[in-house]
Amino acid sequence: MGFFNLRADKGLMASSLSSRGQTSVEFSVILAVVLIIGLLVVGLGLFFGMGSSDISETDARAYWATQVRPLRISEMAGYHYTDGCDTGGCTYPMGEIALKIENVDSKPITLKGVIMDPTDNSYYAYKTHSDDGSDQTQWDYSTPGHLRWTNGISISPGEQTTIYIRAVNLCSDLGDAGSSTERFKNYLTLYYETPDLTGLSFRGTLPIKGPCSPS
Amino acid sequence: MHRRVQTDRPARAGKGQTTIDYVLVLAVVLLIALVALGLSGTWPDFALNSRNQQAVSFWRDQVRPITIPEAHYDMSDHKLYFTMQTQIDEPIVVRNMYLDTKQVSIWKYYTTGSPVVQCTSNTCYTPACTCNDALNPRRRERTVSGDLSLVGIDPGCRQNGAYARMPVWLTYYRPSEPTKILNENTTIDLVFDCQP
Repeated sequence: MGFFNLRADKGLMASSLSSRGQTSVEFSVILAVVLIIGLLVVGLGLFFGMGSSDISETDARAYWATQVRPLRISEMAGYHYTDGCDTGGCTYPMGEIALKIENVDSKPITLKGVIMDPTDNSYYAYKTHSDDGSDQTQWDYSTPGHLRWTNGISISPGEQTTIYIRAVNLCSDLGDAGSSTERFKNYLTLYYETPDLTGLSFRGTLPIKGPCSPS
Repeated sequence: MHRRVQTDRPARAGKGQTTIDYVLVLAVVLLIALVALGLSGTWPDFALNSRNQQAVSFWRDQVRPITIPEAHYDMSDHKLYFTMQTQIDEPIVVRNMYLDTKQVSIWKYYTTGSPVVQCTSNTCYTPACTCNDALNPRRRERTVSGDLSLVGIDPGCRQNGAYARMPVWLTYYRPSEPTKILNENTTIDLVFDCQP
């Protein structure tokens, strides 16, 4: 009985050791796979510029379309003027950003100005799109010394209105060093007033971002 | 048969061990992913904003009898600019306003001219003062608080475009029953944006 037990114990020990070895190998394999997946995700994130230091275009659009109030930007589009103005010496701004602005409050909001970074530029507001940057009827403009428009655009609750902002640095390689004809990325401040309170503004904590299409 | 049972046991124990290891690794990976998501700032922002939007709707439309349809904190003068509106067909007099458990003074705020203080003190920190801010039925009234920094309130506003929140407690009475002091005290904070 004792002999039998000894043999059984030996078998048990051998089997246990073998099993522990196998467990250890399986554990190592799982760990390796997880590490490889982790490295791949980090690598892809860095490659596509999706690190935490730079917000993705999707996140920026989602932020402006769903999280801000009382004025949201439900759509945004950039245009780079390719005709006439891209050879230099043109008097028109080089690009335009269209913003579809929605009032998500329960009372009318008056849009009183739009300015982006860098704030020392002039941001001209139009109510129509331009194919080449040629002048059309300008609504108003915002500069550091003239942030708010003389006449605001009243937006009813739930209403959407589109304005077109032109400036030398938007969808352009002129202006500031970071601007490009391929994509736009600008921090945006909206000036507005409600029926009860004036002098209000909203600066997004995330920029507006998107591609610049040739007009 | 007896021996097979004995040799099978360690194998099953090994499988159990592998499962535990697998679950542990998965837990660690999930924990790292959650921490990374938290550090990136995307997930908490969405969660907080959803909570904020519910609070905004609550104070704008649902709370009774006094709603606060809009509120903005001015970071330059440390005052809260807001509107109050009664949702009943008789006047209400706001006797005291507490923000973050501290009493604050309130002023009638007009688009032209200077604000008019409604309280027995411009600051309301000591001794506690009484405000008697009369609100007309169903009409929005522009109001501004005193300097919140003077009563030790820091709403946490650091940049334009950010949101902050504070508990609000109002005491009020109806002119028809001036001795009956009522409370509007909810568990939902008032959410306001930060103005430069």
